[in-house]
Amino acid sequence: MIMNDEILNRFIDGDLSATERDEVLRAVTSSPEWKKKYETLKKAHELLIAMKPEEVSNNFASLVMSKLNAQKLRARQQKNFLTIIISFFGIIILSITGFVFYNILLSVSQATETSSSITSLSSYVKDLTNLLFSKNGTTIIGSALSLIMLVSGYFLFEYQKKMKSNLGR
Amino acid sequence: MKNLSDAEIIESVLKGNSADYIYIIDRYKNKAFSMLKRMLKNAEDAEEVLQDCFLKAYNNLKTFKFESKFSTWFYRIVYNTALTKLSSSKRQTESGMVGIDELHNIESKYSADEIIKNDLSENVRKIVSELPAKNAAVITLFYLEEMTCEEVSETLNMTVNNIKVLLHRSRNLLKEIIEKQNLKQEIF
Repeated sequence: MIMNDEILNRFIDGDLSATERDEVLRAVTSSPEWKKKYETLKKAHELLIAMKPEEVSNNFASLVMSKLNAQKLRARQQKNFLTIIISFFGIIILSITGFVFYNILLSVSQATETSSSITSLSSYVKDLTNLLFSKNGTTIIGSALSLIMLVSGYFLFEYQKKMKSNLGR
Repeated sequence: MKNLSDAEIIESVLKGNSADYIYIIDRYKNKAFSMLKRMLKNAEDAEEVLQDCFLKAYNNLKTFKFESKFSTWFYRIVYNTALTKLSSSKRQTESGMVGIDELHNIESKYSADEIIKNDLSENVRKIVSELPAKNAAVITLFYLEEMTCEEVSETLNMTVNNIKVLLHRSRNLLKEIIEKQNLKQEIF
């Protein structure tokens, strides 16, 4: 076996076979040059073992924990925000569905003429919904909905952006 | 709580006791900071990246499989985040086993004058802080975290042979500098 720094490193790491170890020990004890090299490498190894870890700032752990809590709070706020938006659109969809069903029921009740009081109440609701869903009414509602959607989309986008930038910090 | 294993603390955090995560932070903050500071060569960047690493680890805790050690999983996050930071800041570009020239540069930088100024352990600290990122990561995990070459290899996603090459080169560099110091002491 040819002695070199690599063999000495493997000797220190305990990576050599018993025969190879004996050869290294023989070389180290018989040659002052290899003895010096081995001792220096061992010293380097011991100095590296003795190295202490460097310390972070004192409030590091509490800072990370507060960031984690802020992150959780943001996630909860985002969830609530989404719930509100989804609920709002859910109500709108339910109203439209209700209106369609109402018209169907109204046409059925008009056809059978079973109850005049229901019809008068129905005609009142019909007038109201007709006003809401008239040509002008739908334009106003449509514009309001578009505006709400745009505003919601903007806030949602801002939330996502803020959350990403906070995570990247 | 401080006597509990990493796995037990993580299980507690996953059960909803998120405040217990502070024990994980306390356990790893200094060693991971040492690794990052040596890789990034800047204490402020290292602390900032470390915060990011702890947040990433917390957010992905559900994906942690208890088959491997938490330390291996966590240091992989630390190492990859440091590499991303290095590539984004373009402070240092490394590819494969490049870095031997940098080691020669460090060795020549530690001229006799530099050696005589400081004591040996101070020199070691300075040399390790100037090592290329990959060498610094290997040295930290092997000596500070007391990982085996196999564990370091799993953490840094490199072969065991590559890890040994990086480890031996760093150790040889230190040996050369100690030899210089010994020579200087013999002369004076």
